[in-house]
Amino acid sequence: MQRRKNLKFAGVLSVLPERVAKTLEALDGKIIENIHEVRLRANKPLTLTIVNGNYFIAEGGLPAFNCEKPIIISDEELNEIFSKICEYSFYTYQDDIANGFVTMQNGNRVGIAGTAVLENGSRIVSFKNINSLNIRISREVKGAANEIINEILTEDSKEILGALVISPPKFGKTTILRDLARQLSIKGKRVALIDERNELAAVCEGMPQNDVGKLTDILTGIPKDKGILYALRNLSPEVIICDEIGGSAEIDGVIYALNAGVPVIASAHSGSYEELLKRPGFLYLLNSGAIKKVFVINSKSGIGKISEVIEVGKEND
Amino acid sequence: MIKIVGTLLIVASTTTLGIMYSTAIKKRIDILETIYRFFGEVAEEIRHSRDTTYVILSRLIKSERYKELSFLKEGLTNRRGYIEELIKIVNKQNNLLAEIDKKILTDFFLKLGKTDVEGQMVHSLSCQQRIMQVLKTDKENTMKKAKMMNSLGVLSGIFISIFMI
Repeated sequence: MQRRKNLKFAGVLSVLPERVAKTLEALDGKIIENIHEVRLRANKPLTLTIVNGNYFIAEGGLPAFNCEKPIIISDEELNEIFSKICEYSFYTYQDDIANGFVTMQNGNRVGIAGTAVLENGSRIVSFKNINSLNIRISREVKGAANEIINEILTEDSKEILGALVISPPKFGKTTILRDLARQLSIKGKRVALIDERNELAAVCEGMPQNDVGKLTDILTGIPKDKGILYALRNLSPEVIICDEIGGSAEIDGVIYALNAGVPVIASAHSGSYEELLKRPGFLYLLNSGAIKKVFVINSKSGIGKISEVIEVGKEND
Repeated sequence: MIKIVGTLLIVASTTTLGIMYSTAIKKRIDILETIYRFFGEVAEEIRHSRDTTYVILSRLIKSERYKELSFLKEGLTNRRGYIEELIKIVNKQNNLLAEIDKKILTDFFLKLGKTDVEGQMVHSLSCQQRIMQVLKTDKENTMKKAKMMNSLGVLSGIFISIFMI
């Protein structure tokens, strides 16, 4: 895992200017392991998010909040970094850019901030004058789904229950789903992984860079609602896994899958189960019977740890 | 007898020289025709596969169909700075390409991947049209020159032989 993490970090270094890459490369392995994000803003200091704190870094120095001469990223450097992230092929990533992010080859996700380019006054088609990039380093943790795997399988391991993993952003939902795909695959289940943003499997030139299992079929870049229907029609999966559902079309897709006899395991942004119930789409989803269990991760339990397991329909028991 | 053999040898060698020159001249036209097809196929690949420019260029340049462009292969060794490398290689091809050809290829590589799919289509097709223009004006002249080289080779051989005899 350490090697994979280092490969992902090396992927980040490969797009950074040499002076920055050299500084970060020289950091201690333990610090590197704990870097979650590298934030780059035009003409502002480079920031590292280490665990949950934000730090600056001087050339050849160590991360510190009070840094005298932090590395400043110029706007030319930022543009070049963005070109490298897009592999000098903006058209390849044009849909992602319109959604405000790009997933790098190794699964690292880059959030974009800039001026939105609108079509017909409302539809975002691109971003221009990009002034900030947030490179979020992907984490592959084998065993991350250990707490969940037995909860979603029936006692005889024949059936899989529909489930939803909820947490605020950056609490490890994607990491859990990735490992869940791998573990279900190991248990002999055919998994269809709907990886719209290419974060789960990190497919590069057709090959997944993350281990998502040998029985897993990966649909990359396809909208989740369409991906669910496509998987049902063409891949005959025993379970469908997708990340970050929320839109009404996606929720309808999950319900459609239930009616086709295939459970869906998905994740969603939510601080708590109560907050989830306040969103009409999810209330409809939970009432439909498509989701049997909700796994809650929050600050009480910590990153990647399940704080609460709620059996839908038995909340008051 | 010796005179006849000598004459034949002279004619054969000057003819070979003429053919070599004419082939070298025609080589540029072959390359331009290949570049024309290449631009079209790059546009098709961008629209169809949306693969990155590196992947598309690697696939095409390494294929047998584009063996005339094999001089570009060494520019694709580094996945990060390949555009600069390709431009450098193009600008070194003084024997194969004219200045206008180099300019078109350089412009093509410089704007490659910098816009959305529609922008790339327009860019590729406009470069293709520029190559077509060059082909229109230069192909006929080049073919004439090549024929002239062939004729010159034979005739100069005959002339030298007569002169020697």
